[in-house]
Amino acid sequence: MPVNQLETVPSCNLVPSATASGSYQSSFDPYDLSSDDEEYLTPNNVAETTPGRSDRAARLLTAARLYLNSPLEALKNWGQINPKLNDYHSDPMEISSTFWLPDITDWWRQQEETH
Amino acid sequence: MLAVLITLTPGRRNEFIDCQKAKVCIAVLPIMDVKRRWNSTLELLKRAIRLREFTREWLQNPKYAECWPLFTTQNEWTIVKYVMEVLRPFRYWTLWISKRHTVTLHHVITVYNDMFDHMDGVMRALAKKKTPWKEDLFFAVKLARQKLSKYYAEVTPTTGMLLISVHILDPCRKLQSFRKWDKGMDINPEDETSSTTKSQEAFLKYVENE
Repeated sequence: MPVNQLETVPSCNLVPSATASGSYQSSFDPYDLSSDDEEYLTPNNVAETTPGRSDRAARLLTAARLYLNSPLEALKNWGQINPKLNDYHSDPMEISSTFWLPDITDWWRQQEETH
Repeated sequence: MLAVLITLTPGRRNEFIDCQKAKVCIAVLPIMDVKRRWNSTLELLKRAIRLREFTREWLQNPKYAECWPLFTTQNEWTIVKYVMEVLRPFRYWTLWISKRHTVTLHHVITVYNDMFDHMDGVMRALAKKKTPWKEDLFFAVKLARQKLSKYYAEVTPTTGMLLISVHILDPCRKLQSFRKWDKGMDINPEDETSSTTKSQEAFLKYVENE
């Protein structure tokens, strides 16, 4: 594949069945780069499952469990459970977490009741 | 720097375009970095690789002998290609999400997984390298991963529940990603302690309790 070929990004709304890092071939042959030593950046190597997944799964499930146990209490206490939450007050991305803080179920219920 | 020199005057720009005539369908110019746009360096590198042959030709003109120190060596192109490879999922998902005209929330877990796995793979591949640029790249990827982890850590009970729910509701995914998590950790998805079972239970409880 020539290096200047444009990368195609699907325009439909379905997520690709493969992942960007895994099955999509790069625009160059990574094996060509193996000049100085041992292994190199190969698709198999990159796509391998990582131990960090257990942490990520645990974090998400813990959050969900807390929400299910007591949604309102969880919102109050989460800052103590998850201290990293306060690291980004100066970051524009912080707005995303603030946006979702209101209980979405209550919000939907209000919408249903008022319309 | 080379992009600045090539696009400095209309004459230079035309010369560079002329280099490409009859060789490519659309002649283009190198692009410059815009610090405020995270992906502009990546676009710059991508364009530089595309124009590699023409840049070399342009530089061979004795008129631009003062620019010869800017000639990119084979080793430097290798580094450029590697950096592009490292950033590929970031570019891919950024473009993919920005092209969507509908909800993308149900893809969040998939996107995060892909980027984390990619970076972990890159770090594994570079961990034992001794070449200075590879060591630098390892350090850069490590910092990038920390940054991504901090964003991921911003999940709250509400968003966590929401992400799990919308992911399961996606008819293309359902519990697939959770099963993949479990299999990757060598856990039977049918086990009570598996991510699949826990996610499924959480989802059902969330729907039924409301």
